[in-house]
Amino acid sequence: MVSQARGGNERAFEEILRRYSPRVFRIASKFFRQPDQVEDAAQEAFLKAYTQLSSYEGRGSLEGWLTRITTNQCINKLRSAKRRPESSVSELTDHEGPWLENQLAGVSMERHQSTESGRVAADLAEKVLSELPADDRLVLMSIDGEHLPVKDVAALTGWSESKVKVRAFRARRRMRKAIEKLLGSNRLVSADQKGG
Amino acid sequence: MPDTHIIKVLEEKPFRALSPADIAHVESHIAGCGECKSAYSAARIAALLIDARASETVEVGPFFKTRVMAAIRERALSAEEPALVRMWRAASALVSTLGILLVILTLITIFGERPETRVPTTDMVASQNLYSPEYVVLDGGDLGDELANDQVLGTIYDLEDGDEQ
Repeated sequence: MVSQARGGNERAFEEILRRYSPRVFRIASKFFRQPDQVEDAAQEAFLKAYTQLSSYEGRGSLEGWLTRITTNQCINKLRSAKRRPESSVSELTDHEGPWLENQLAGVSMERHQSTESGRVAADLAEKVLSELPADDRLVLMSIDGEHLPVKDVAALTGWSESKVKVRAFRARRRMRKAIEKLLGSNRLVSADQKGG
Repeated sequence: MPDTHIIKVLEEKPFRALSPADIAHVESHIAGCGECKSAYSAARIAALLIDARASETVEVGPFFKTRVMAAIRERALSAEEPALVRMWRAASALVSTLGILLVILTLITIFGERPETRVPTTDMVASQNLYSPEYVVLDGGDLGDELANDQVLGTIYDLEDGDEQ
């Protein structure tokens, strides 16, 4: 299929697209949330794959090769994207504050009690993750979110395993501190509301 | 208070990868350490948030394949053609129209009818002249009205006088 696509056979590349689009979309979804952004990133990844098909030597799996291309594409896109100054982590919506309170009060680690709760958590996660460097987001979503082994993330990024570990360590610290700050500001807001 | 904080344990591996022994160690520590308790709560919430975000996936749109193939064809086309050809494709209509206009103007200039500038012939002058040679010699007509007889005679005699002298 790859050799046919490399020879300019469009049907062969269409088959690659059909087979691997869900995987590429899943990776791009870790970096972007808006459907049009995810689709743009996936398209750019496939275009890059098409132009670089000659460099694919067939030693690893095509899926792994496409995963690497998509990840790099998303990282570059994320790095070049300007951070949104209007959205601040400390600005919580009416749903996010109570959600945090519930999590603090409860000891349950049930992933998501309801669809609504899951959506609020995902909104809040995006808010926190968008404040972190792109590389932090990559390691957090890959290792902590997708449960990929450090070795796989190293292969994906081209970093050494020790670099991945250090990156992950620092990323967890940044994420934790961002949430501690969020919890602190939420407590202040709650105290204000109770006092007022 | 226990002598070592547990923050490092929370940062070394994903929260969900903590072993029961790790959890037991952490929980015994946070019972007496407010700082680590706060860190533990934040790490637990971080794990929940990452899980929530990781579970979200955008589905492949129905026209995605068509869109990518169209982009590939467009890029392949632009890569094959040199820049001059692409410029020509963009401007060919305008250039062709201007070229046709130029040819038409040239043809009109070369083969179009010019205004007449021929030198008039004797016949033409005669046809327009009220006093043709025949008229003047044979008829005389009204020319005599224009020159008085005295003038004619005076001129003749003056000439003769001059000859004698």
